[in-house]
Amino acid sequence: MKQIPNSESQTPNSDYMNMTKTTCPFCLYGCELGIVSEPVSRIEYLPLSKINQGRLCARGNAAPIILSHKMRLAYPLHQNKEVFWDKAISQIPNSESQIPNSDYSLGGQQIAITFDQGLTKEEFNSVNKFAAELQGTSGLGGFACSYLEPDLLLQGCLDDIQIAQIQDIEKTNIFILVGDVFGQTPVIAKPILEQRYAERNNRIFVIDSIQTRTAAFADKFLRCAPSTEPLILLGLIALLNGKLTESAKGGLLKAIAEVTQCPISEISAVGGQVSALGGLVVSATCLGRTEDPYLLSLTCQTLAVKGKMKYLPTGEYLPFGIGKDSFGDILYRIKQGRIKVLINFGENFPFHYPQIQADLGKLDHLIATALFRPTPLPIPNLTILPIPSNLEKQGTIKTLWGEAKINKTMEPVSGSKTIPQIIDYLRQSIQRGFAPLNPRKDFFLKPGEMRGLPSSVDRDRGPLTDNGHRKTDNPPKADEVYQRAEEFLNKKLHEKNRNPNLVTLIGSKPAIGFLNIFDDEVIIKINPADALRFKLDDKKPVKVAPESALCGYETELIAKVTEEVPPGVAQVGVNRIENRRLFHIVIDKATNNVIFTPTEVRLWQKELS
Amino acid sequence: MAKRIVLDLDYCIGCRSCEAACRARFDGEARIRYGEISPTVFLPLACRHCYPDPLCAAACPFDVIKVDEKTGISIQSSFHCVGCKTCILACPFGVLDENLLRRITQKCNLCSDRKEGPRCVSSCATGALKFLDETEYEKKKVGVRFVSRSPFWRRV
Repeated sequence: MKQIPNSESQTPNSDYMNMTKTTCPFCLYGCELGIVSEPVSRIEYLPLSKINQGRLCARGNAAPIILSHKMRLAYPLHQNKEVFWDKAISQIPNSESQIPNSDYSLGGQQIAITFDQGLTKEEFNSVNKFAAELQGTSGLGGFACSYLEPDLLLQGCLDDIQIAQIQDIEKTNIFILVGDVFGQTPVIAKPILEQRYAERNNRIFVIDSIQTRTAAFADKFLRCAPSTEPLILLGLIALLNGKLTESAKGGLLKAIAEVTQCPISEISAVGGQVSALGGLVVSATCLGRTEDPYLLSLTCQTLAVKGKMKYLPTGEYLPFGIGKDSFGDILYRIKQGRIKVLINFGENFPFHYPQIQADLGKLDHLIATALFRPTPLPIPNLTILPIPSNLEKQGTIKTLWGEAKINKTMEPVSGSKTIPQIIDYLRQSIQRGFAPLNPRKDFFLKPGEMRGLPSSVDRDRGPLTDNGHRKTDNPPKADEVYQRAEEFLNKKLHEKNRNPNLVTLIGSKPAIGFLNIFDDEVIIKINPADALRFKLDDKKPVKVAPESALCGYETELIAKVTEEVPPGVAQVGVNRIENRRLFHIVIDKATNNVIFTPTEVRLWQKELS
Repeated sequence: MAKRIVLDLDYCIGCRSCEAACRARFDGEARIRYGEISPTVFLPLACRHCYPDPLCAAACPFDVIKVDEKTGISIQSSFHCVGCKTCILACPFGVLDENLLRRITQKCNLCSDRKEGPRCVSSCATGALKFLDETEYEKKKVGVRFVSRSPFWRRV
């Protein structure tokens, strides 16, 4: 029977002797919770927790369901068939003859390693070591983070940025919330709202393109056109910049107001209060919400630096290191046919990114770890290996407030193997064909690099070299932020008129939609004007298809006609994989990040038979 | 008077963690639901435990819903419910719902199996749901603090 780790247990109920306290691993807030494993797994709230006082969002409440989910993978799959572990591991080619049309030295550079959500620090170190061994043997085709959610890009990267701690919220008078902060990280709402109500002059300003749960609590809601949130922030930065002349500020604000459709007076009003009182910038974003999440991150941070404010990026996951490449580099090499084998460690890749599955089909072998049994994917030679969830592991994870320990609340699901065990299997398999593995010492990430920076941040933005590695680590400067923002502003100013028969689809990622356990996210929010224009009825099925989809993909959702979205914009939840597929991906040329952008879609009423 | 679930509208952000907590306990079927009054006002909907004469209990043809005189909580015996849905029709607040798996009515019992009180209250991400007795929530006065949205404390 498991004992409570701390004798001074944080539960008031002493009956729960078989409760294990752990940290919720499903977002960066790091809430503390307890899991009672017997007689059935259930959750217990820890009211004495300093982080969350027992409060949990839907993600945390999903913990016992994930532990005993009917779709948990309990055996390896090869080409969608159940196989034994030995057979699954043997799928990785271990000699040159198994890699057809090889122009490279023995296998090395044809193998790439990626990692995504759900790795502990210890597991990440194992993966890093394994990659270093492969690199030391005969070169590695790539080592990158395959967590492609844009919240990764929000994490701090400017040199002089001050990341806020939880106690800083209690000292803040002005909150600038960018995106749906409350919807994506509900637990953060309590300290912010308490502080808002504590003093009459405290204010919440929200910058977003749609009316969200967060915007409902705003004292002033700066509603902008989709993807133009960074430009509102640029306007606020300009107002705080004493070096700009009044005429330059006026010209810039006029252009920003034209693009964002947000009145200058409102931006100026917020700018005035921010410059007087300072505050805290909290940002949240999700897949399909903005065209340039990296710019969003940089402008949030620049505003914080210029306004002498603190910055708090929210998100679901932050890896302990960032790899040597961007995932865009890996995708480029796969398309070129230079990478033949991809091994991914983590929970979501490639199942959560349907757009790239066609490119992954060019691989000879894709070995991926997973928690759940996915629907059959169009990837030949796909091997899926079951792993335990973070609730079934002992280790260290990252939170907004620093590193936190997670405890093993239950035995891992039958048939799963830990990532170090899988790496041992792979090591043995590869060693049969290759020279002995020699780790390259310089391959490890330096502590300075392990700040959780996105791969785009710690490198210069020169063209991709043949070996895929870039040279220097150059954190972006404030001037670069201005330059990138002004380029974005110019691009938006000269954007062609939209096709009136299309609407811009943007994504939202509320906590309640987590893994679609509590909410299927079959709703598409449509403005009443668009509903009238496209003859769509409330609560009726509606067909949605990306405008330029050559594959002819379309999906069916239920219309919700609401003023929450402005005319010309529709919104879907992106926890649902079918909804994610509606968004286009682009690879940012400057940073090689894969970005899921807001997308033009067609809407039409489903003809009921 | 026993404790009841009370909602502070000023803190409810509509995150539905209360619903998630309830679903996690009751095999996917929530006994607290979520209503959207307007894009800015959200309302968790659960049984009010009307006292002393709940209409659902009066309407039930099989006396499946009984009122506990000590606590004032109306409790339904799932084992004896036949799923006639009369109580759903009788509820003046429209908060009773059918369990789609078992085809019976499901009703909040304020997590009477749990000493700390209802799970939805413990879980509430913003602390908007509170578990208070009548004397406690009557002390809450309108306008104690500056509120821009709704100065009312309302019982769920």
